[in-house]
Parts: sequence; C-alpha cells; structure tokens
Amino acid sequence: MNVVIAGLGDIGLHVASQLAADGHQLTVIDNDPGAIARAEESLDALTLLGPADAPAVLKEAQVESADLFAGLTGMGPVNLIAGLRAKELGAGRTIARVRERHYFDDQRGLYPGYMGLDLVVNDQLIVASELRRLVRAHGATSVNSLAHQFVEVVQLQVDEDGPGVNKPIGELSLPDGLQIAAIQRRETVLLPHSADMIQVGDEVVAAGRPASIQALERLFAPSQHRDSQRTYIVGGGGVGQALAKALLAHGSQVVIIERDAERCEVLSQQLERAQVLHGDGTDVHLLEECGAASADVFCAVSGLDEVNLMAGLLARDLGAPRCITLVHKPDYVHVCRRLGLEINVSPRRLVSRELTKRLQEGALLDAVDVLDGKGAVLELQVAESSKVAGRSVGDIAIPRGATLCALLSSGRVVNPTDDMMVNPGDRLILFTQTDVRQSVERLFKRPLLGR
Amino acid sequence: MNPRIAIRLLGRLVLFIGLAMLGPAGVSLGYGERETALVFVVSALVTSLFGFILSRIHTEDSDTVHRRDAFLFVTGGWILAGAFGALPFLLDGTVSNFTDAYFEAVSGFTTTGSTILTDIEATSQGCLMWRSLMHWLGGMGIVVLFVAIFPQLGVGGKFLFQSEGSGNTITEGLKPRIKETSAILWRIYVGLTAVNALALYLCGMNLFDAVNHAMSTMASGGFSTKNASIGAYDNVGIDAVTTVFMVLAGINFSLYFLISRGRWRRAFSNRELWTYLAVAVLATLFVTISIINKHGGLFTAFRYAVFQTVSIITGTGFGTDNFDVYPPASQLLLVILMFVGGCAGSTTGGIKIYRMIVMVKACNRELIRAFRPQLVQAVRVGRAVVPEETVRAIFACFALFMAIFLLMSLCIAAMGIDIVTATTSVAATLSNIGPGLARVGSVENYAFLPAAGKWLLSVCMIMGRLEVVTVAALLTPTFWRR
Repeated sequence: MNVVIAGLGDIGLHVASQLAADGHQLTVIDNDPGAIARAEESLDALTLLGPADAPAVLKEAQVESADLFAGLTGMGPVNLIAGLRAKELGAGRTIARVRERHYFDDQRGLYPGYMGLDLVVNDQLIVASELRRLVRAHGATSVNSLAHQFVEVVQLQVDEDGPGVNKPIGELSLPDGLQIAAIQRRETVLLPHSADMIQVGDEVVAAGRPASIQALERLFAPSQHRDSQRTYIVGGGGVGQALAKALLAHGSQVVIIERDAERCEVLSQQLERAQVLHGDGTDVHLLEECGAASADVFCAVSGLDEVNLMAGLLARDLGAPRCITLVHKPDYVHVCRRLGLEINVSPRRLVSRELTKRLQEGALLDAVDVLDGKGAVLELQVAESSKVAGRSVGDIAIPRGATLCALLSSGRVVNPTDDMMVNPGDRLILFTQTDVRQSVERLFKRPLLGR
Repeated sequence: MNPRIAIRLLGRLVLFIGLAMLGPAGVSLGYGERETALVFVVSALVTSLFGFILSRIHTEDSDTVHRRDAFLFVTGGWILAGAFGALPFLLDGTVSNFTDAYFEAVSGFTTTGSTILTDIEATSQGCLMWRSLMHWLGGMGIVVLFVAIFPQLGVGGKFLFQSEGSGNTITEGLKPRIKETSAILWRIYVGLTAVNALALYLCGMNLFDAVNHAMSTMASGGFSTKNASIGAYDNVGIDAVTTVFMVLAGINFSLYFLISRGRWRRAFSNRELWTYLAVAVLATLFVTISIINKHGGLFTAFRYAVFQTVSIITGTGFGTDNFDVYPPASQLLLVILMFVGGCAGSTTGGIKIYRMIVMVKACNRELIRAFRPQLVQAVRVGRAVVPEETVRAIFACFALFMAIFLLMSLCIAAMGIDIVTATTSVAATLSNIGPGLARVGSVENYAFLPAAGKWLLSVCMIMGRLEVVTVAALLTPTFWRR
C-alpha cells in the first residue's frame, strides 16, 4: 500500500518504521531537515522537506495515489488542513492527529467522518483512556479493549495465593463470557485445559467482557482488589489532566504533582476537585509528606521518561501498591520491567496501534500483543466466503498454539462451545502464539479465486 | 493624568444634577408650594450654570479618559454632587447651616439614609422628593447613569464604571459593551422601582409616599417621608412589599440581566445569591427568637425581625421597630451584618457577600497551605474561578475598610461621644446603612453631632459608596506624581 506520513516526531517516526517493517510503500514529509536526515538513516522511504499543509508539497508527495495519508505533526490544525487537502487531492483514507484538547471539549469532538476525515487521533486522550482502564483495573499489568470495547484483554501477574490458585480451571466459577486464554510459566507459554491449575508466579492472559474482569482479579489478586479511591498523578501535562478529569468524573480522589508553578495554577482552575501540589515528583520528602505511600494507584505520566521512572520507583519503595509509568521511548520498557515497574504505557505504541488498525485489510480487525510479544490476541471477522463461515466451532481446525477465547455475535459476547455455529459477520477473539499467527490468519482469508 | 478632562466631565455631571432638580420643582408646583418650586428652579439654574462653565474648559487633548482621571472624576463627582445637592435644603430653609445640608445631601446620594432632620413631616414636599430622588440617582450610581447618557466616552467609560464600585459589570458569558451595560442596568432599575411603587400604592400608601419609598427602597437608601419611617403605616402589606423589594435591591443586577435574556438556570445557580439569602434567613431566625418575648408571638416577632434584618443587611435603614432595645446579641449581629452587606453589583453598601465568600475560601486555603505548602488551589465562588489578583485586591480592600472604620471611630470618639455611638455611626455611614445604635439608633438622628463629626461621617459615606479603594488611592503620593 502507498502511505504518506507527514510529521516525523516521536510518534510519526515510530509509526513510519512500523509501517515500513510491514512492507508498505512509504513517503514521509517534514518541515525540519534534521528530522528528514534522521528518517533517512532509519527508514527506507521517500523523503520530502516542506510544510505538510502546503498543496505543492502534498502534490509532490503524490498524495492522490496514496491509500493512506496520516498527518502526525505536533500541531493539530496543520494535520487537519493537510488531511483535508489530501482528501481533496484524492487520497484513499486520511488520518489527522489532533492533540489540542479544546477541539474535543464538546460531546462529539472531532468525530470520524468529520469533514471527510476518516479518523482523528488525539494521542493524549488515547493514552489517558488507556491509563484510566489501568487505574480502574486492580491487579492487571495491561488492559486492552477489542471489538468496540465489548471485549477486554487482561494480562495478570499472579503474585500471591488467591482463591483461584492451585485449582483446576474447570472447577473455578469463572463468570460468563470470560476465558483464560494462556498462561506463561517460566518463559513457556501454555494453553490451559480445564484440568490445568494456575500457580503462584504465573502470568495469565484472559479475555472477556469488561464487567467480568473484576471477578478474575478477585480470584488471582485478592489483596489488590479494592476500589481505586486515591490516585496520585505525577506530571500535569495534557495526559495527566485528561486522566485526572476522567478519574474525577468517576468520583475518585486525585492528587496531581506538577513541577511548573504556572501549570499548577491552570490545573487548579480547570480541575475542580483535584488536589494540585507544586513540586518535584522525584522528591522523596514531598512524596512521603503528601501520603503517596497510601495511594491506591500511583501514575507517573510526565513528559520525561527519567522522571516517570524515578517517581515510579520511589513510590513503589514507599509502599504504593500499584504504580503505572508512562514510557515514551519503547526501548525503556524492558528496563522498567526488570526494575519491577510492571505496568507501562507507551504512547507511541498506543497511537501506532490505533493507526495500523486502520491499515488492516480483510479479516483481521485488531491485534493486541501480550506476554512480551510471545503471543497475541486477534480480533477476526468472519467473511462470507471464508473457510470457517457456516461451520460449527468444533469443526474449525484451529492450529496448535492458538485458542478461541470469545465469540461476538450480533453485539453479544459468548463463551464459544463446540456446537456453536459461526456465521458470516461474527467476530472471533483468538489467542495465538506468535509462531502460528500466520496460519491462523490464513484460516480466515478469503479464497483467492471467486467470491 | 489630565485633570482638565476630569474637570470637564465634572462640569457635565454637575449640569446633569442641576437638570435633575427640575423634577422636585415640578412636584412642588403640583402641591402648590410656590416658594419651594422657586427655590428648586434657582438651585437648578445656579448648578447648571456652574456645570456649564466647567464643561466649557478648553482642553487640547481629545476626550481620552485614563484610569487616574477616572478616579479623580468619580471622587470629585460625588463630593460636588453633595455640595450642589445641599443647595435646595439651604435656600428652602429646611436646614440652617451648610454642614447639615451637605451631610443630608451626601447621605442622600450615597444611599446611606442617615438624617439630621428632627421633624421630617414638617419638610416641604419638594424637599422630600429631592431626598428620594438623590437616593434613587445615587443607588445605581450617578456615574453609571452618566456613562449611559454620554456614550461618547468609549473605553474611558469603562474606567469610570469600574471606579464607582466594582462588581457592577455583567461578568458572565458574552460581555455587552460598556454603554449598553449601564443602559441595561438602568432599565432594570427603573422597571423594578415602578413595580415597587405600584405595589406600595396598592397596599394603601398615597401616590407621593409610594413613589418616594419605592425610589428609596430600590436604591437601598433609607430616607422616608415619615418621622417613624415605614413603621408609621403599621401595615403588614407595606412591610412585606418593602421587605421583598429590599431583598431584590440586594441582589446582583446582572442576574436580572441574565433572567431578562432567559438564562434562568444560570442566574439561579449563582452561589453568591444563595449565600446572601441564607445569611438573611439565618439572621432573621436568630433575631426572631431573641425578640419573641418582647413581641409576644411568633408572627409579630418574625414580621419585625425580618424587616429590621433585611433593612440592615441591604443597607437600606428603614425601620418598623426600635432595634436599640433588642437583646445585645441581636444588636451585635445587626452591626456585623452592616459590614457584610448585599451582593456585589447591587445597590447595597458594605463589604458585599461576594468578597466575604472569597475571603473565607482564601483563608481556608491558607490554613491548609500552612501544613501543606505545595498545595496550589484556585479560589472558587460556585464553579467560577476567582483570579489571584482579585483575591489580593479583596483582602486589601477589606483591610482598608477596617482600617478606615477604626480610625474614623477613634476620631468620632475623640469628640466625646460614647463608644457604641461612635463605632456604630461610622459603621452605619461607611456601609451606607443609615441608623446605628444608641444615640444614632433607629429612632434617633445625627443632628446632635458636632460639625466636625458630620464632615467626617460625610467622608465615610463617600468612601463607603465608592468601596474605599477609589478614594483611598487619591491619598497616596504616587497618584499625584507625573
């Protein structure tokens, strides 16, 4: 596919390299010669220097033959105008990144389809909603939603003896619509059967309706199960503010620690019930004094990875039970894990996932990487002409190393049983180990000939 | 600074006051008081001529009004208004010396309602009308009216507007232009006064009294045409109507503006409004309970308590009952309410509920900051954020207000007047209430004070009406430096 990307900042470059790795034809535009030079070192792409919203530049980039145009510069209005121009010139799909919050203040915001744009991505809102899911979850190290948020995929570290540990899975009273997809035990991934037992030290991947996730946490992480009443947020930038706003609307207490005095003023004016503290989130005395040890959740979401990492470590050391850190540079994620900060959020990954989702063709609608990339949870749509349509679940030859987690039929999530029919238009949620992912996807492909 | 501009504007203002005197002249004529009518015509001529001459002073600059000119003009305007307003009293022979006449006129324009007249009912109808008219003109602000009449002032009008008492502006949503604002405020004011007069007339007052009392009530003034104030009628209906309109006069006029635009919900979600009503209700309950034995019945006690409380909190100063004989706690409560006043942007005096809310919230914040110094918290009234500069200005205004109160009380006491009379007379004039306690109580008057005391209290009234800062700023040396 032909893809034109405007803006080679953190997010633009990350998305571009992802798309290049997937084998798409790439053209990148940026205003800054330095950014172009950097892109040329790391990307095999056509590069173009110039303002992204200039018609001449867009024409030169041959936007008219592009299947996708993505405006990913730091400035929303530039991306919007560039997107509109690209659409006008005949680009297939257009995506604009708009991070300015005031565009989204009313109910609808910049909705998909607005002035012909296919998608408007607000990275701060995406990150904030991911964070909010994590804050409201209790024991999970990652929570992702699939299928229009009908299904959530949870990754859970079993650290303690809960009511569900060392019991055959078949005997656990799991709520309807929830399935344990995979277990990672000492670096090996197991696909559980009803006789298998979950042990302390395992990492569990489960998928199901969002409401059923709490029951899972009650089984495997009982001590962490209480409502997130008190949340501390280090860093009051756009992400921190959006997170605080969402949490406050939910009725929980929020304490924001922000370094910049003027920003503190703004926050205290815009967030009515949040407690805003002016200070350094990596200051141990401040954290001790303001009671970060008693935090139910501690989120370090400033713009600096170093600050987030340090604040997260300090809070954990003080005894905060759940620390969430925002990690901008994807390379740091592994280090964070090793240091014991299990719950990481990477804005670049989230945004590029949101964008690459738009590029998926055919049956695959969405994919979530789990267990450090050892597996993935896929959302697949059954096409009328595919091999699985019209068969029962038991008849589908799912490859070894993959398992069916949930079936979404006419807006309802159900636990799949062998005699259930798979109809065209249904969506299947599958866990697959990475090495068999190709064959799973092939299963749902349309035959090459005929319709 | 360009004092010539201020003087020219003052000329126009004085001219306007002169024209206003023709109103009472007509009333006098209607009641067959030929001599009084002549007095008003002469006063009008003298005043207008003076104003006309001032307004002809040559200036080389255009009519640009700067902040300092505005302060000078507003303060000067109120001082001159008192001087010329005193003219009819002197010429008519109602008052024998200029000091008393000036006190009465300033008390009128500043809507204080303290009087030096010992027998009001013996005064000519024309003078009574003039007293009420001064109240009414001063209630919404002579400068606000001035801005409405002379729209060519442009942005300069905004400074004039702001220096005559803050909070008069329409703050929420799309702000109308300054001349529209003053025109709207006056339209609302005229409308409410007309309704009030009609209601009083229907309750059995004669037309002359009804109009006079309506003007006095809506301005939260306090001048009555009777010696015993509203109490002279001893009529439950009149008490009730007056109470309701006193309460209405104490509400921020921009809320009426919102209501007239159909934004009811916004107007009724105003935090200051509800605080004001809550304070009035609680104080009324307290006073009711304290005087229940004196009046021998819940209803009678409530009738008098609500009237006196509302009269004091709105700074009107009408009386139906002598609160000088109330239990000490109730007396003190009423004195405290004098300082509180009504809502910002109303015709009432005092520190205003809005400022009180801001100060309480800011103090609360400082208490928390004492043990959590990193806390950053915006001061809010309702959901609206109060800017930090405003918070600071409010504290400064409060401190100035209290300092002037103490200093003036000391001066009055130095004239050999007892502490209660001294302090409450200053409180009552500084907050533009009218009656105080003891020798200036609700059935007494200010006639016994020495001349110096009357001049001091006149200054208090003007300072209080202009909310201290405008006048006090003139006393700083920096103001006069080039």
